[in-house]
Amino acid sequence: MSDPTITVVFDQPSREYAPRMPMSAHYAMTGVIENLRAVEQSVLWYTEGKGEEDLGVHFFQRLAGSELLKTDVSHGVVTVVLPASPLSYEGLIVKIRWCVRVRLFFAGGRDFVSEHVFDVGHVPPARLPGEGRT
Amino acid sequence: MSSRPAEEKVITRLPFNPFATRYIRAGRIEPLNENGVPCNIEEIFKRFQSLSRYAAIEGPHGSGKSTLLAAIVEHCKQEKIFTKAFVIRSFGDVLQLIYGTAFASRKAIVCVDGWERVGYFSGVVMAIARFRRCGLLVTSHKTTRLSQLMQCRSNQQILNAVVGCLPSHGGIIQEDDCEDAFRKSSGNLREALLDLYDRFERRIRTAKADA
Repeated sequence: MSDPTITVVFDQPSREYAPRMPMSAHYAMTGVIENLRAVEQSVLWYTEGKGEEDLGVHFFQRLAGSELLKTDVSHGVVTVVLPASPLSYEGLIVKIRWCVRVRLFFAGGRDFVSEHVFDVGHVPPARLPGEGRT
Repeated sequence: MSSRPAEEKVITRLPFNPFATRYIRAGRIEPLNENGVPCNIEEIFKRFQSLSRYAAIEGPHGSGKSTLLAAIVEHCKQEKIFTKAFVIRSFGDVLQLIYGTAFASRKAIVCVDGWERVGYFSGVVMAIARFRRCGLLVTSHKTTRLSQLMQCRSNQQILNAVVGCLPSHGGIIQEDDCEDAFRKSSGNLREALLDLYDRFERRIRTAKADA
């Protein structure tokens, strides 16, 4: 079975947001979305790197059952006010990423996850050790 | 039909590192045999059943034991076979394992990653599992008293195949890097992949600074 495609358009084309700023993202699904059982929309941060992973969910909404039938799930909008922290960070060992995640659950247990990263704050990427020293 | 989530491309400021834990952890990579070909999990699971559902996956550190165990657990989920998975890191985990095995149903399979850390209590867990008549599948880098389901080994071919299965590194990592990383990590695939993580981070930053 082919996977659907989910496109997300952010209200800030640069995908850069300041802390405590409102963020709005419009998503649209194309492709095979038959036998859909549930749709989860979330705004979250997660760590990525060499070690254990961590994540924090800032916004979560699940559409399932009768709610799913009433709603046109092929597109939707996620609107949140972002928190003060954590800020997006491109470290060497660990990174912090914010993303809008749309997860589709199909009959038979199959699921599909689509993540769309955006930045919170303007923390510059970490430098290599020794880089920039005179 | 796989229940493992498919993922679309992730856009980031710097190219994302395909060697991050997120992409290389057990359950994300398909277990590969010595030729770098995906293992036939169904066949391995049949063998497990033929061993009265008491078996161990053995092999040195970073040889793919946890990856194979995760794939078997996933296979069980799809076949609607109940599993109870435990990762042993501390004594608290051992207590949870004993408790979980004591209350496991007859049809369940207790899966333990890091059996060597169970230590003295391994006999207790085995006795409880036999009494409860539940299955027991463990990973260990030491020889166990359980039948050996599979002996995992690593080689350069497997590392190359794993790198090929990961999201694209955009040509930043060369074949020489894989060979060097494998040699430096003494055959530990996990360590080799983390070595490649470091190389990737260094190169994308150097390239950005040059640009």
